[in-house]
Amino acid sequence: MSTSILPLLLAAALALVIVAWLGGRFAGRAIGWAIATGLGSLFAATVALWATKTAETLDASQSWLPTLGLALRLRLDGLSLLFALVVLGIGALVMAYCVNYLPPGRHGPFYALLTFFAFAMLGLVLADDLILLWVFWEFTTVTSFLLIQQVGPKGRRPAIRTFVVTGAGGLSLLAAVTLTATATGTTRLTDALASPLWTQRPATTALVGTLVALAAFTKSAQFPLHAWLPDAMVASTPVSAYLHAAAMVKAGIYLLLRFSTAFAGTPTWTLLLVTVGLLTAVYGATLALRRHDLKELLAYSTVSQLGFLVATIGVGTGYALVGAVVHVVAHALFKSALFMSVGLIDHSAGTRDLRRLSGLRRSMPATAVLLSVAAASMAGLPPLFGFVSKEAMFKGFAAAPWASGLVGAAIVVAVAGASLTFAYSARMLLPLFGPPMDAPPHEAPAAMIAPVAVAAGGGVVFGVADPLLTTFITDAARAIAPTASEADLSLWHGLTPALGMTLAVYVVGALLVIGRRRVESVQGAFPTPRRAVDVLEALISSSVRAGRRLGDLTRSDALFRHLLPPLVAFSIIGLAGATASGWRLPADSTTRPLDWAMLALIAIGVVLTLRARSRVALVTIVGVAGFAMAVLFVSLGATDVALTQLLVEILTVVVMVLLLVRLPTSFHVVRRRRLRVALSAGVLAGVAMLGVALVVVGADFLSDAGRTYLARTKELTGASNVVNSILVDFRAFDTFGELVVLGMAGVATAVALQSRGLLPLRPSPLVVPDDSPAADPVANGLVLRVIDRLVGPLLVVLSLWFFMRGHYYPGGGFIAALVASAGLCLIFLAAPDDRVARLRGSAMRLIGAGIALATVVGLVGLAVGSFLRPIGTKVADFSISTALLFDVGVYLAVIGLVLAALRLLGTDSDARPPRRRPTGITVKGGE
Amino acid sequence: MPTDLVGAALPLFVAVPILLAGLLVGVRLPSAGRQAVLVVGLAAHVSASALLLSTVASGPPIVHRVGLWPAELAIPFVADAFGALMLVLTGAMTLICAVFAVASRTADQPFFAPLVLVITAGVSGAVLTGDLFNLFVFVELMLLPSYALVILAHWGLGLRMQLTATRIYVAVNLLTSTLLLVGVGVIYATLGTVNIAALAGRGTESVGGTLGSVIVIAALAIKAGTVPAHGWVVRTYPHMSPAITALFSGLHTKVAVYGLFRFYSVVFDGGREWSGAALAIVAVSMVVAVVGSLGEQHGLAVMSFHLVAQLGFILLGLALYTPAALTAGVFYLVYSTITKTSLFLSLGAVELTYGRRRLGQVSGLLRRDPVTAAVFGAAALSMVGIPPFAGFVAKVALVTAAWDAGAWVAVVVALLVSVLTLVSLLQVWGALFLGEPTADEYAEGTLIPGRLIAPAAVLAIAALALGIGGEPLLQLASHIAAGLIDPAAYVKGVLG
Amino acid sequence: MAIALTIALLFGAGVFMILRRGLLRVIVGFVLLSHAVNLLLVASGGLSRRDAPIGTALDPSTTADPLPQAFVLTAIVIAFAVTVFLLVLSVVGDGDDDTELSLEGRAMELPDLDEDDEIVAFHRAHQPTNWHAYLDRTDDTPDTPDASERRGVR
Repeated sequence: MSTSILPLLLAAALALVIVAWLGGRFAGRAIGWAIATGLGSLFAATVALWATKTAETLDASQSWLPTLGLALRLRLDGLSLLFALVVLGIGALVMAYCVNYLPPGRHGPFYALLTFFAFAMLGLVLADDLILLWVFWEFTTVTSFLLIQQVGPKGRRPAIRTFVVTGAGGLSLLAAVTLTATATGTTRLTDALASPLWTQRPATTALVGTLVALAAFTKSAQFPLHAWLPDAMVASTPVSAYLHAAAMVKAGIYLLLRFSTAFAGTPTWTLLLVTVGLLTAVYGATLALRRHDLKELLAYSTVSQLGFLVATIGVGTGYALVGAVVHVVAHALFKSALFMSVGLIDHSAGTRDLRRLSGLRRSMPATAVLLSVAAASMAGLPPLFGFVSKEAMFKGFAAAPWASGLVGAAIVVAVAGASLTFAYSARMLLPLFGPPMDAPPHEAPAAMIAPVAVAAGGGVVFGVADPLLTTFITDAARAIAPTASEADLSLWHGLTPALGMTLAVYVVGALLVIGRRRVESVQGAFPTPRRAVDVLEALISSSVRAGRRLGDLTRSDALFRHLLPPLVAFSIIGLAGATASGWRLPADSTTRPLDWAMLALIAIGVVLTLRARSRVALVTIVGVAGFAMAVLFVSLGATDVALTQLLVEILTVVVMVLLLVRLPTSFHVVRRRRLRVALSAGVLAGVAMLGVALVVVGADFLSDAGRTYLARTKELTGASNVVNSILVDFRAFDTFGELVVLGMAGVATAVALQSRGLLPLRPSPLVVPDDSPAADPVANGLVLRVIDRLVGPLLVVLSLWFFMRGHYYPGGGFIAALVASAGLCLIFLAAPDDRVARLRGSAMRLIGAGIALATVVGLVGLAVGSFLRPIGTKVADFSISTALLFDVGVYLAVIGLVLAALRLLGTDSDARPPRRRPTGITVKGGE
Repeated sequence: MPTDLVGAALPLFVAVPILLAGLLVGVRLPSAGRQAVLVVGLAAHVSASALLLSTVASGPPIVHRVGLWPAELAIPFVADAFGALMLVLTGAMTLICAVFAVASRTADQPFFAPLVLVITAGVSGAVLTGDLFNLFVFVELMLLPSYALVILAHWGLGLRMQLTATRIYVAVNLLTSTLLLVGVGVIYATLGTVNIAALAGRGTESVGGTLGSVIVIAALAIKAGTVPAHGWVVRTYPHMSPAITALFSGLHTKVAVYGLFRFYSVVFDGGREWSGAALAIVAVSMVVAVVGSLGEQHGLAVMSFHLVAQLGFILLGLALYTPAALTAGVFYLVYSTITKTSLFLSLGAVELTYGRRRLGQVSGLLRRDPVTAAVFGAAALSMVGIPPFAGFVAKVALVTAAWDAGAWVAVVVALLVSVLTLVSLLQVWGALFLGEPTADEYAEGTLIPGRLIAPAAVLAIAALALGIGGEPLLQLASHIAAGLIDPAAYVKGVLG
Repeated sequence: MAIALTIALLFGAGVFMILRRGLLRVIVGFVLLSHAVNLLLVASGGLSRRDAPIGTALDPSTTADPLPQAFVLTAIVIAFAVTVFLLVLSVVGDGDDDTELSLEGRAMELPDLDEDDEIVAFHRAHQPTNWHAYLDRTDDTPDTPDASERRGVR
């Protein structure tokens, strides 16, 4: 039965969030009452649950992400109970306080977030699963971020800073819990903490301990990670009172207490917590002493109080833990009371500045009383609860199990911190005295004061009637350290060292108050330490600067900057590989005399290409290497390749010629250094490639696949041109993809020209007198046209011939189409001007038809079991198959691309879109 | 369904989109018709992929020898859980981006629909093929339409930066494809086959084999945009229209990553000898990219850097190469694709609406566009790894795996990069949504139209769903991881 | 050996060319690169057997491996397609086919810094008055120049 109740608690809290959202939206600020009631009844329910519990603890489990070992495991023990009560109790008070604090109007998001925070905290303290714990931890982080940014523009940086610090802490916690899970082999918190590992592997223990501590330090604002807390005070007072005083900052404390089960007494843990804690306690208090803004003062006092808590937990003995737990409750009470009463003052007086407030004891009597009670509790005056808690903590320090010297030192620091606390608590009361302000503020409505009264009153009640809490505190302490003794919360336990320390605190504190003028002057003499916030900002902006520099490496539009890294990477790999294989020279059987001749020819071509200074020269010379390649391919037995190479070379050059008329004749000049970079990169890559090529040439064996092709092609496809058969039968899928690529190139050409338009034609460099026949396009095109008249039809026939014989001799769809394209180019070049040469037929239709036809042919293959499976019959010794139709598709696609290039590039620029100023929507919206 | 039937249907994932594309290029439909064909076609593609996934999710891979030629001659098409998952993922992203393109009028362009369809075909082919050279062909098939999409703009309205981006994009990819071919050549010369399954475990057989495999891996890594070859990604992505940027972020780099997972696991047969080097490269990649993101001033540029950084997280799973790590890697691949696309789309919606690109030019949107803020915020939290969004599952899985593998360096890097990611995203958030509302006469009263933010919203919701209900995907991922660790089933399926 | 040297020469030269300024040079560089790779692919089938794989009863000991040749054919054509597109990109630039604008410094700034104002101007013209009108414009078919005019007035 009890197992199902814990999830119910959480579910109820979650339901409250929705109530808060809708209520805040439609019912306005008054919904605060409802939420307060809701949280209050959850408070009552929890107490009842604990009172009527049958077992030592209440557990519930529900699997969530088993692969991660993440389950919704909940567990209610003494510690969780105490924190749950704090969260719910203070939550209820703050909600009630909100009703009158907020301006009238809609507050859906605000209430929803605040309630969601209560839910998150509840989940955090109930979680019995390492990862679930982290999940709720992150929830609190995000909520606080959202609540801070609620205040609008001025909350921007504080919210961001808060998220950065606490988010980093969250990641540290993530590291901690995952490491714990992997090390202990369980994600169940209780089991993990009980694992023997912590005693066996000190290194891991130290690491996890440190990570946990770091996380807690960020959340509980320990030096030097405290920056965000005073910063977060821009948030509205209820938020400060609830998140940044009572509850959220206690999440870190809860974490430390929880993990004390495993880490209490381990050296790293103790050292870290005690030193950082005490340092923070004193540091925070001194800063609090010099703040004038009441809220800021309270923020620093929170920092210092949390420091005390951390240090006490670090001591780790039963006494210390009891002390810590007690102080958690005490601090939650008086700090929330203080924040809310400061809120009252701010609300009525419109300022929180100590120097401008005065005489409040007359104008706002009730507030004055509450403020002083809470402050007295913070200062640790009897018979208030603050006194009890401070005594308990001192007891912990006094009984610390260390060398007496260390204990002494700890005591001295603790006393110093407490005295400062005493001093600034007193300082908070200054506004009550002095002459009444001009336009004295009036008392806030009773409904607004009531919650404050409850919180402050709690400090009194628990102080006087100590038995009320004894069992809770003891249970909480025993949940961590089973050996912890019964908590003794009585005001008087004889002449103990703790009492001595307390008295010392009063004396020093009183002196500080009396001599506050001198104190202030002394403080003034010291330069104010650099605000941690600025340090954080400096960190952020410096990383931004670093980012700029790193970005500059790639922030360039120069092609070579983007091409260089891949090339260098390749060169390194190639050289490494070649070296590993020992630069072995290939067998002589792999070299023929002709190869050397071709090498020489290609070398000439390449050198000329590299040296070409003008674009025309470049285009005319680039063919040389290409034609040499074709010859080489023939000598390598790759006839089809050679033919294709030849035709592609021709077409490429033709297209280049079409463009030349739109480009300047000579290239840009570049700095010598640039050229040297390119040159050395080229040499490096060349050498690397030589190594790679040697590996390739050296292998020299006929693969099984190759053998099978040679042996079985005739039998399988009836083709005698194996290469062509591979293209249209065995690996038709490659060819299919390739023809679509061609088609898309045509489409891309159209898209590019539509997007940008062509450059205008450049005036031809050579001047021709008008009367010369050379000036007349009709005349000077004569020769070409005559050739074209004769050659045109010939080419068409040739193309068809190539097409039909493809399966048996060199040829096939591509080659045939390329031949036809060459014909098209000829017709195009021969025409007197491009208007006449406007070739019939739409390129796009051809491309679409080609692609569609090839696909359909392929789909027909499905009839016999597979895409692109040819269906054919044997006519005479020619086998006619769908592969032929497929080749038609290829044919059309190629023609389409060439046609597109000729038509789109060959026309006058005025037929293309006018160049216009670029505008944003076009690039961003593609409009 | 009989598997041989399913097998015969595998090439349709390539053929059908291409057929549609061919018709759209050849026959001129009105804009509405084109867009309808596109969206319906993609929707069908996604549902078919989902069907395929449900078929192969737990069973053995389905193999089909295209053309039914003998095993050593035919091009094998293989669909295992990983491939099918990729089909669903990429298909869904394409669909979402297409819808966004329709909403933002990018899809008005006459050739937009066919281009996107061909990309879909290319991606499907690259994912399904079991043949290295065929992979090269399909990668090209995926790239050529992409080239066109980069420069796509209305009549005469293309920007100079757009052209520059296109040149960079084409040049780098052409070079990379060339290198890929070199790798293929070396592999064929030394190992005598380009059938990936037939290469199983032979990556370390001979120096030549290793050289070829490493070159192929390098080429894929460059296409994925790993540091130091990340410059082209971060430089070109911000200059495309948002729909295109989102599409590419969801497809191209991811396909390269898929290729890396597949090829590395089969050819090196889970060999961990490269783990150290891989880890180093990945770590550098992540740090450089995330720090770089801090320096950027344009939302899309920031996101492009994050794209590279997130890639590092995914490859971390591959570098560690334990079952847990690979599971995390696969989950990360899916989640980061969804999240990142959502971020690109919501930023794109802002830019399209306000016409401003530089951070700080538009601000204070939180009050004006709460929905947009919610969508962006959700995706951003997911990317940082805040529960309950998908990112936290991935991050927990990855960090746990890293601890398990004893790679504390990986943990440190992952967490450091996460913090910086948080900072960077907070900067964007602060600039865009907090602060004083933009005082700008043209921006006043402007609201982001619902149809522009809806696609991003869908993805943000998906990210939330994957966080709360991530278990099925996690199990699928671990099944895939098992298949990567021991590719025997894959190899056996292909070679028979 | 000669072939290996040829491949290396072409590759090195190609790399040098693609790293130079001016898109046309880069394109020529890529042409050389693809020559190198095609030759490498053919070589991957072995260079000691060189008879064309055409006809029946082919002798495996002397006939060249047909598979790499098929690869090369595909590769050549794909390279051709990309080359054509690159060539187009060289004549749609601003003024010429320069590939190193950034060396003039401006583009080293943040991306498209120089265009932001124009975007703003554009949007001033469009929003908020007729943003929806803008989105709901009727579709413009690309081949009608007057489409651009109509947008011009918007």
